Formats: sequence, structure tokens, C-alpha cells
Amino acid sequence: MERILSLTQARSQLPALVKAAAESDEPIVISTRNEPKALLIGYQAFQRQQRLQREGARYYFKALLAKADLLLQTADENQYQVGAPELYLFLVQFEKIMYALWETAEAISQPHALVASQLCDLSRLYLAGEDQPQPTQFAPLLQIIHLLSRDTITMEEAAEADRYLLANGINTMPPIHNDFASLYEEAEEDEPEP
Amino acid sequence: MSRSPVPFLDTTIQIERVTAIRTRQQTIARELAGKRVITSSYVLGEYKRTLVRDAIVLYNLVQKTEELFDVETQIAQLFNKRSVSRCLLLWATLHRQGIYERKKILRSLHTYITHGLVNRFMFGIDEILNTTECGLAKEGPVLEQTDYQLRTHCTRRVKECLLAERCHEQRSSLQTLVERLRDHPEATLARIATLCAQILQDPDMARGRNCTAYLGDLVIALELPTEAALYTTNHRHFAPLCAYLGKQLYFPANSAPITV
Repeated sequence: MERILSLTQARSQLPALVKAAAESDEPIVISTRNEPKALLIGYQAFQRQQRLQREGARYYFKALLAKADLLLQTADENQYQVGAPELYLFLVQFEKIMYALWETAEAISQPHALVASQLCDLSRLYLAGEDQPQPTQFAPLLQIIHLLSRDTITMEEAAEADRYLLANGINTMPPIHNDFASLYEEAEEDEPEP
Repeated sequence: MSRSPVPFLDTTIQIERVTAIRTRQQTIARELAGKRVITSSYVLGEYKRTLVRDAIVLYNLVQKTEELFDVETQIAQLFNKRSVSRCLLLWATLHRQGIYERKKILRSLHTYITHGLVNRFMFGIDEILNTTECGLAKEGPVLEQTDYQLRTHCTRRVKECLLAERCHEQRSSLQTLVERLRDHPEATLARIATLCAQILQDPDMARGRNCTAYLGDLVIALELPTEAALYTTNHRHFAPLCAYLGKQLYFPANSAPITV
């Protein structure tokens, strides 16, 4: 049963509440105007919850990777061609998995999240028709999925993954239309420094 | 070009390599394939204070704007015309890709800022020359609470590069530019001539705001090695500079040479 206290009550007995929270697994809810606003929780219980959350995220992440792996292997084996309805169906599914993968990766590590975010962007580029996935590109994408299945990835490995994709003709960054570069050609300010 | 010089990529072509439409990116990649490709730390500094800075501006704006639909209004209200065009193009690019959630927009921009844009700058580069030892090139985005910060300007009062020394070594080139560009109809080039004359008197005049705001093209043209050819989209400024300095300019396939 949750213990709910008003902010005034909590303020008046804070030392005792901290002791109680530290010794028990039960969080104490602090409310203002009868609305629950914050939680006082023992540090050990908090750490345990964080660990469980991470483990849960890892478990879900691995399940998503398995799905992505299967999807890409099927695409690679069947060599989906540009314009084939199967390719479109693949892309819809791929985008859903990549989005979930990115959201979950946020709870795992920065490099995992960076790589997953780029794959998510790529899936959207494909769906938007900005780029067309070539049959030869499924295998390199599988390599990146395998990289993500590792427990730890460094930032350098995440950067290397981006270069690896680029070297295989897979660009996860959307192009900017219009003559964007020319907007940088002139000096920003008018008069030189005296 | 009779021989094949080493392409030296300037900031505009580096930005094109990363942001241009795919066919343009492929053309550039084809033209560089199999060649030894170089650039410089000064170009990296300029790349950071243009493209990376704009990504940071957009990131901070999205972070601070309460409602996402207000981002365009904020861009239009806060910046000058060319900055507005750039930021809106970046913004439209994210949207065209179907990214509408604030969390995902911020993550994509965060990826570009911390990792993606500089990674792409380095992609396929064999050597980064460090002739000026540009201090701004060493700067990286720093997350301060919720916003990114990046130092994009230097000050003449704090010496953190060798630009003045390099300018001093190239006095004869600067003298040539003073004479040839003084009455040039292109205001940017005429201004470079004025600044060259001041730098001849005091090489430290090259540093600080003059360097970041007005002398970018000159610095790149001066540091361009003789065996290299400048690969740029900005032929309007670089064609005269390279011609007067006796440096090579790389003309992409199917483009006519520019008359100075």
C-alpha cells in the first residue's frame, strides 16, 4: 500500500521519511493539492529499479534485433528489387522495428542509440522514397544489426558503422534540397573589424 | 588539367558532399574516386562554424520552443535572411523524412551534431593539412544542461593559431592580391585586397573576426599546396584568387572553365 503525504507533512518529517524510504522497498508519494507529484524512494530500491529497467530494455532490444535480423535476411535472400510490392511491405515493417529499436536503445547506451537513430532515419528515408534500397544493401545493414547486438559499443565503433554504411552506398543522412551550400558562400557580416 | 593534381576540398564542397541531393553527392564521389584527397584544419573549423553551428542553432531552438509548429516562426523572427533560409531548409529536410516528434528530431540533430557531420567531413579524406593550426577546428559541441554550445569565433587578443605567421611568409602573394584585386568589381574580393594591405602592415590583422568573417577564401587559397587543386563550388571568389596566386582550381567534369 502506497503511503501518500502532502508536501507540508513531508517537509515536517523529512528525516524520518528518508530513513523509512531507505529501509523499505515502498516508495512514499508526495502530493500537492491532493495530486501525486513526486516519489521518495530508497536509493538502493531506485538502483534496483534502474537495473531492472535496463535489463528489460536489453531483453526487448534483443527481441527487436532478432526481428530485424530475420527481416533483413529474408530480404537479402529474396533480393527484393526496387518497385516490388514486397520491398514496400518490407520497408513499412523495417521502419516500425527501427523506430522501436531506437526508442529502446536510448535506455541502453549512447553509441547504441546513435546507431539505432541512424537506422531509424534511414528507414524513413527509404519510406519517403528519398532513397531506394538496393538488393546489395541488405547484407551491410545486417552487419550493423549484428554490431548492435553487442553488449557494448564505443563511439568510435558507432562512427565506423556510419562510414561502413556510406562505403556501401547507404546514406542515413537526408539530402537537403535547393542550393544549400551556396548559402554559406558570402561573409555573414558587412564591415571588417577596424 | 593535363596531370591529375590532388583535390583539396574547401568548405562548400565539403558541405555539398554531406548535404546535396543524392545525384550531386554521387557526382562528387565519382570525381574523387581513386584520388588522394586532402583538406585542412582551417576548412574543418569553417565547416564547424557553418553547418555544425546551424544544426546546433536548430537543436537549441527546437529544445526551447514550446510548440513545434512555432519553430518556423521563431526561425523567421530571430535570424537574418540567409540564416533563415538555411535553418528552414534543415527543418524541412527533417520533416520531409517524416520526423515530426520532438524527441526524434532532437535525437537526429544530436546525432548530426555530436557525431554525424564531422564523421562525414572526414569520410574519404587522406590527409588534413594543419598549416594554420586553427584553434576553432579543435572545438567541439558541448552540451550545457539542455543546450549545445560551440565556439565559432576567435579573438585577436588571444593567439591560438599560426595564421599571422603564415600570412607573413606569404607577403609576396598578399602584395599581388592587393594590386590585382584592389578595384575588383566583386565587393568581397575588393575587401580582401583592403584587408591584405592591412595584413602586410600587421600580420596579426588576419586573426580574430577578420579571419572568421571575411578572410576564409583567402586563407584557403593561401594554404592550398602547389601540387593540389582546389575543389570548390565557389568559383566566383576562388577563380580570381587562384589565378592571381598561381594555384590550381579543380573543374568538375562537364563544367566549363571560368574566365577571370
